[in-house]
Amino acid sequence: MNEQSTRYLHRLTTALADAPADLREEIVTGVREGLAGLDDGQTAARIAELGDPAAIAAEALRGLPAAPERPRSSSFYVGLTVALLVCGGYILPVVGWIAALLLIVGSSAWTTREKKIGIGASVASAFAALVLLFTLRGEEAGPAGLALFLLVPLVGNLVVGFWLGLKSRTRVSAASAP
Amino acid sequence: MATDIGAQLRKGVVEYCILGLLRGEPAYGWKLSEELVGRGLIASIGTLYPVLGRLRAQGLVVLSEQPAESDRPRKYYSLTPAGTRQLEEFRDQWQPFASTVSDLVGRGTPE
Repeated sequence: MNEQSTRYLHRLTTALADAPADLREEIVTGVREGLAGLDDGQTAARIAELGDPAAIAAEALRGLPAAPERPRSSSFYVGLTVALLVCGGYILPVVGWIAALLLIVGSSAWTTREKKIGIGASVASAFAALVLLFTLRGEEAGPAGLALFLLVPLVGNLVVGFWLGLKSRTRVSAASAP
Repeated sequence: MATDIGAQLRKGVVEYCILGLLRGEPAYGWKLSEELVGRGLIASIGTLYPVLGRLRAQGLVVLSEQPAESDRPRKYYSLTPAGTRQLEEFRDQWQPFASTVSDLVGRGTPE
């Protein structure tokens, strides 16, 4: 991938900042495939053929159904989702955590792959906590099991929340880059 | 405000044109875009992907990955059996429809 292609793809990603993450990834991947393996002259010709990234983004957004989606990728939405993921299960056991997972599913801030990774890791940490609780039963190991049962999901969800927040923030900074 | 007749017509048929392009063999997004832009059916590659998303959501098209010579595998779109049926239904209706419209609009006489 030469420098022209890299620059063009960065401009395209920035122009598509308002598009749902899955659509943005599909378009950028499609264009990247179209630019792969070209020399400088061919790249310039293909970029000219593709046109202004802002026009591509405008066309893409125009093709979407009327969008009540926007608030579901806002900083507030992302912050609320992450906070609920980390603390929700402690405020409202199980229900708070499930609500956070539903917010992740319903958001347009992350790609389907990112959602699957995030939810999978969160569920895995909850499962690990349950396994530890049942494995470390008994008078001696009981308190340790209970402590781990409370700590493992907290650490797991902190990591997942941090990662999801980072993914979302990376896009926001790409969008605000000059 | 004037209506862009061409845009309205393209909007109505572009999904079926994509199904038609995929009839023979799977294609990757860039190739589909090149073909459709070249024929004036879409404005840019940005128009293509929301349409492909709708076709996938309706189960008419699927996305799969195939190895490529270059650095990454390419994502290919192909028709599902439902997509093939949808295309056949459209084809059956399109010829009589186009013929009827041509017949009607071609009969206009200046007043």
